[in-house]
Amino acid sequence: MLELRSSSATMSVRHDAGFITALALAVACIVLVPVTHNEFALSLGTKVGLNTLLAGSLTLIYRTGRLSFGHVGFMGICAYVQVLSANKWGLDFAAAAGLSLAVTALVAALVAWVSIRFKNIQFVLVTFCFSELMYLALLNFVTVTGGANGITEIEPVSLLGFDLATPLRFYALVWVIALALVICAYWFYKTPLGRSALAIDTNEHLAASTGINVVGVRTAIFIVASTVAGIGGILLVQHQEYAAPDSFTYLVSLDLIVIMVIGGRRSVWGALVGAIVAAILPELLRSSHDAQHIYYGIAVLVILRFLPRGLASLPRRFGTGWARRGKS
Amino acid sequence: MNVTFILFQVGLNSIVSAAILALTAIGFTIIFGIMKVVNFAHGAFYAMGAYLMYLALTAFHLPFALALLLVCIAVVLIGMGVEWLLLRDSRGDQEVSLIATIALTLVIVNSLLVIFGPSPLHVPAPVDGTLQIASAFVPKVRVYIIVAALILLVVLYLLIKHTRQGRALRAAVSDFQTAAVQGINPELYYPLGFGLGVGLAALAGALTAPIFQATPYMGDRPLVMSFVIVILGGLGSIPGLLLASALVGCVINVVGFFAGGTMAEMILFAMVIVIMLIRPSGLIGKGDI
Repeated sequence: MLELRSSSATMSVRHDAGFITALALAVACIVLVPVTHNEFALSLGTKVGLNTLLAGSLTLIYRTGRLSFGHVGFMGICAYVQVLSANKWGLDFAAAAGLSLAVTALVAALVAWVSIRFKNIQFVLVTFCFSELMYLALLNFVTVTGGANGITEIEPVSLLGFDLATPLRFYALVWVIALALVICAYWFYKTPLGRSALAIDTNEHLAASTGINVVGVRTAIFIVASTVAGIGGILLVQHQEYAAPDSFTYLVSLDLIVIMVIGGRRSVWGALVGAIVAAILPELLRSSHDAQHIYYGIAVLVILRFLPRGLASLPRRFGTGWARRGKS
Repeated sequence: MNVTFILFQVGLNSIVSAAILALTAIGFTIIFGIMKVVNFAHGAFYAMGAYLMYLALTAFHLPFALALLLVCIAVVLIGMGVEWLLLRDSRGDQEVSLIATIALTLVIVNSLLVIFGPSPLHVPAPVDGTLQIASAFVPKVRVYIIVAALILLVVLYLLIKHTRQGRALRAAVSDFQTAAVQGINPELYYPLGFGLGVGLAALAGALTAPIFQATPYMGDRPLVMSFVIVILGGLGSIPGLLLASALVGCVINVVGFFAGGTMAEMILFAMVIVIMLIRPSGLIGKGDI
């Protein structure tokens, strides 16, 4: 296991060409969707981009050996602070977004301070309690958050006076951010800090013994990734044009974890692949209306059964298979 | 409403919740102890128990106690089958097992939805009428459920504590590898552990069904609460688990009565975070786990 992971890390370094090919392929697909002039495809594509961003940032935390259930809490905080500060104080979109991201980073630092020293199982529980607490707060403090009805008055997204609220421009915005995350993640794992994170993921104690500051690296990545989840939260609210507590229940955490695992937990492409599958599979199953979630569950079980390392491991699997056949 | 009434009402509800939660959480801790898996399907099996109880009571007209026994046995067998079919290959891989149980929840809950429909089903109560205690009137069914749950807890405790199989199970829960070295067969105890765990969840679901009715999503909160209780009590500690169940049952009902359900849950989750900060290994934790 240990050897496998470290070799996959060095392989990814050697395979810049592979990454760029995959990126070109992804960009081609992303550009092709709006060409179809299909409103539904565009909306679905936006959703895939959002999930790529959210599950991708979750993967960053996962690759430090911690599974966070707090993601949806940060999405909620950030989205609500953005919407409320824009509505109550008349801030423009970008200023409100900046403020809300700062607040989110601060809360993430606080949650990290509380939870990062725990073992994974306690970490899961504490981050879970945090996100449930956020959800209940959104539900309960009706005078501020509007309670279960939520807020339907959302200021449309614009940056530097440039309106981004049309479906096409919003789609482009979401994907620029999502791909930026993928590229940053790829670059990040080549930096010393990124290598430290991978070392912690592989063997926490060994990493600590070589002088890596395990708590420090985890905290830094947790804060950054949780703030990225905040961006995802803002975009989600923009996409659905309302903010309501129901968009921020722990079920979202479960969805993101499913996306991450079926895509590939230790790949920068995992989130993207998982998000595509999670968006398309239910659509394919829509004909069997009532039973669609049953089939979705079965499909996930089948993927797990045959590809426990996720769909993003498929090319490499074939790759090594061919390489072996070539040698013999 | 006088003070005695409130005391009785809230106290009784607290005991019902605590007993049911303890049953559910013991199942959860067995699964976590043996497989190191946070079983996200626990709530789904809880609901499955309630629906099977509904079937046993309305379609087959079985007596309550017999129905309870059969439901429990059926779900233990289903659980063993599920472990053997779906979770066997991912033993030891926490995340894959976790996602597998999430996917399992999707399958079970939506199957219940398709088969039984979304509206709550009324599960017949074993006894009717009310009981007068001092000046308060209490539905007999609640008393019945409390007595049944407490009897089950005691029986379970005796089985786990004083039988050979129970000892093997405890050994497997506390340290599976060492237990395996001592001749406890993983091929038997992995499926059996999962089966027993979800069987207890189903038992709890079946027991509460006459009070709360059966809905496909009825297991959501018990799942979350079991998770909270197991960590709060200290992983693998049965006394800790009972203490945590009592605590959670009281907070939910007492705070819920005075300030509403959402507030009660907020206070509960905040309390969990604070307790975890002060005692990271749980109320009665055995240090580092």
